[in-house]
Amino acid sequence: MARLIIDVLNIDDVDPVEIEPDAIMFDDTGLGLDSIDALEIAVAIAEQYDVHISAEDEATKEIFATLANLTAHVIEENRTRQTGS
Amino acid sequence: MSAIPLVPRIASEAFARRGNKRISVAQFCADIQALAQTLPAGDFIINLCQNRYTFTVAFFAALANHQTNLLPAKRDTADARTLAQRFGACPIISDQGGDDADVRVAIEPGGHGETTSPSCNADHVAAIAFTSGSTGEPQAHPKSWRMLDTWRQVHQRYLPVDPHVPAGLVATVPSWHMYGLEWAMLLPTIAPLTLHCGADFYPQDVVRAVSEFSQPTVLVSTPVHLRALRQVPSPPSNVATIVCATAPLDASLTTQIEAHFDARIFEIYGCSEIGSLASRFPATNPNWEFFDCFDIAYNNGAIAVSHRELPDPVTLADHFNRLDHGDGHQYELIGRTSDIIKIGGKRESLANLTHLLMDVDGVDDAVIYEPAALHLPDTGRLGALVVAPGMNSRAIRAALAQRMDTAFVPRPIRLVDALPRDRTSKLKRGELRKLLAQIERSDHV
Repeated sequence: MARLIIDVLNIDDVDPVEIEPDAIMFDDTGLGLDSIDALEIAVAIAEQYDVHISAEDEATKEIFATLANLTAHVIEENRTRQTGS
Repeated sequence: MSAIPLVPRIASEAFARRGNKRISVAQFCADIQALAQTLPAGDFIINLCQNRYTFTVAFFAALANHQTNLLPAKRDTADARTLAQRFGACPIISDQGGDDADVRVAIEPGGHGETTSPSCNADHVAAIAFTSGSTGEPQAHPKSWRMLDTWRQVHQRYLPVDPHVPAGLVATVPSWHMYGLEWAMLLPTIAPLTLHCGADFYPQDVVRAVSEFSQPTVLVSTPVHLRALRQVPSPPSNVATIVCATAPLDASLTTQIEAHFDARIFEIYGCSEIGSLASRFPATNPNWEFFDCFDIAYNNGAIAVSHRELPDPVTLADHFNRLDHGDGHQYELIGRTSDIIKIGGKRESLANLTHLLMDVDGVDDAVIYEPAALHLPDTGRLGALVVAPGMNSRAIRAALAQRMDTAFVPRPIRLVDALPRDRTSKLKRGELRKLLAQIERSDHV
């Protein structure tokens, strides 16, 4: 997931292991990402994992807060789909 | 003094759609009147409401009270508070619980009240839009109610949609930026459009929103959102027209999107001082046509725009070629007249950004560049080369995020031993391109 974010956002000077799982992604102190980055990450996640993010969903802010949350969300969505099908 | 109605539409028509609920024009007017009675007194109001419907109702409620909407460039409460202090500590209103606002706004569904449209004096300053000027101090752009009313009539006339057929309207842009304010807030107050009031941002949101309408739908968006929408596997069939602005669309994206949605793209060119100025259908004609309400003075590539609502002519930041076209003129966009760049609808000077980077402790030399201007693949972001022994790019990124809007923070930031400056310390584009090509090659070894 860290690799996906680095590739999508063109921050290839950052090593995947440098992105701390619990660091806040969307503020000035963490990776400093903005809403356009969120859109690009959402597109990449949809393409790679077939998991779709919605702004209508109250939990989206929480999901995008940290790398750990985002990863957990993608895993959970995949698991739900597998057990549901 | 002449008064202009806020919502000159038929009362029984649909104005908005929020969840599964249809909101009529009459209900919208009732919501405006009801909220107007509860807004705090004073000449100015800062509206930080995030829901599109609540924002719209609050904007018009302020007008019904002859108050002025202040639209800050950045919408965090700290910046809004600074702005409020400049305007007599005016109240900040919001619909978010966690915000440090003065008044929490909630629109009760199905509320009762006066259902006719309120009016506002034509000369009243309806809004002051602030842009983050490249000098640092936000610049104020006042808009009289007559001006906004004139603009919405012009936009309705140019929108390539049958003015008598009701249509849906879905926007991926917020209503508080001028483009969204004009095309996703003011337009449906005059044209028979039903405004979708959800959080329509990610591709899936947009598809769901459009699918909620059974009639033809207008999508108001940007190149960034449209690029993301290409991945939608089965796009809804009822997108009739796509309005696009903030940055010029390239030909291949235009073709892909038009084919994907089977819809026509209507593209807008504008400037923060005035708003929307010109339009084109990029699939059939790359040249721009200015809206006929404006007087255009063309001089050697430079354009000054005048209108009776503007105190002075506005000189555009872009250069154009004028082309004769029968009874009128079309304009080919050449490029900027200065080093002002535009990302995410925000403008900044490249020189100023480089200056901010050089100012970071530990940075000896640096340059911020625009990949497209160096004929490199356009990533939509800036890049930087930095000489800063002992520092890593992450520390530099963190330092920059404190100094500039995140939209402008370069990616990637690459550390180099030296920049290829010539004897007069100038950095030639050719040399910069050579160095970047070298770095690119060594990355792939």
